[in-house]
Amino acid sequence: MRCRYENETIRALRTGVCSESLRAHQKSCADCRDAVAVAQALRQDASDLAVRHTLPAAATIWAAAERHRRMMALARATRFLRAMKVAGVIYATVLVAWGVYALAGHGGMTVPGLDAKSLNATIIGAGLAVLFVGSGLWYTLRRDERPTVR
Amino acid sequence: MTLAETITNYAGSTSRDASALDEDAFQSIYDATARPLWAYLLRVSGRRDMADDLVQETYCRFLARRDNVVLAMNEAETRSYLFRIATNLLRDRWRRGETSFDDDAQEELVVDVDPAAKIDVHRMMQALKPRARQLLWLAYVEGMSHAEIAEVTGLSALSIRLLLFRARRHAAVLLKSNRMETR
Repeated sequence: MRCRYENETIRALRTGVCSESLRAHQKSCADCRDAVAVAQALRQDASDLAVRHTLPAAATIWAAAERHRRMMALARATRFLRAMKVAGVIYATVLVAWGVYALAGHGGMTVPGLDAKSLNATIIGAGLAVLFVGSGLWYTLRRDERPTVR
Repeated sequence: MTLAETITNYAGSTSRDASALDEDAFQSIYDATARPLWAYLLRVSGRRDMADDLVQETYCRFLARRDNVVLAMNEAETRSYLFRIATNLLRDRWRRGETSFDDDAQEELVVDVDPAAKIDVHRMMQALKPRARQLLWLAYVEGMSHAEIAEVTGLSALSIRLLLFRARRHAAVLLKSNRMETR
């Protein structure tokens, strides 16, 4: 199915060292002749391509990789902040629900632990908490949309 | 010399910072491997734009994974590892439906000192299946062993032998028929 000297033939083509016996074998072996023809065509093509093409500088690739690495590090670092953002939204939702419920209680329903005297202070406290948490989250998680300087 | 040794040598002999040392080591790896890698990607994908993109992406992936395993690799292992990354990226592109052999790029690729020979190789590669193109290039141009090809392509080492034989036989037939047509 396959000539056992094929690997040797290809190696000889790469190194340029070919024994007399191998040379004699190649003359009588169609598989090895084919292998040599294909390998020579491909290797010639490869050397032509290598000479003609201009690749980007290593520094450019390095810079791109560094940018990518920094972006990945930033994504990892902001994972905690994203979790905090979700927690903040849940906290704000619960707070609003509780506030609505408390205000409804003030209008006639009874809320344990909340009387009319402490309601104002509670609402102000909750409002400030929402303001601080919200502004903090906004500042931390806002997208930087400044125009790029070209 | 391994990459880690190269870095250590730089650290011992100069006062530059760590990132500069890494960059110098990368420069030497890039200089030794980028052109063969690009030629492989070009001839297997048949598209210059894809080859350009994938070369950059391959090195970005390589640099993103600068762990101890990568740093301890010798020159041959590094080369094999880069070809493996590139092959996987190429396979991803194909899975996403990107086609090979852009006819617009063909003209640019075949013009050279001996245009007939170039057309032969281009036609031959175009007529072969992607896997056959990969195996032929890795075996005959890069001179990789069956085990190395298996590592790069993800195929079993035993099947490489048979697949390479079939690919070579098909390629030889195509090459002969192309040469007869151009005469």
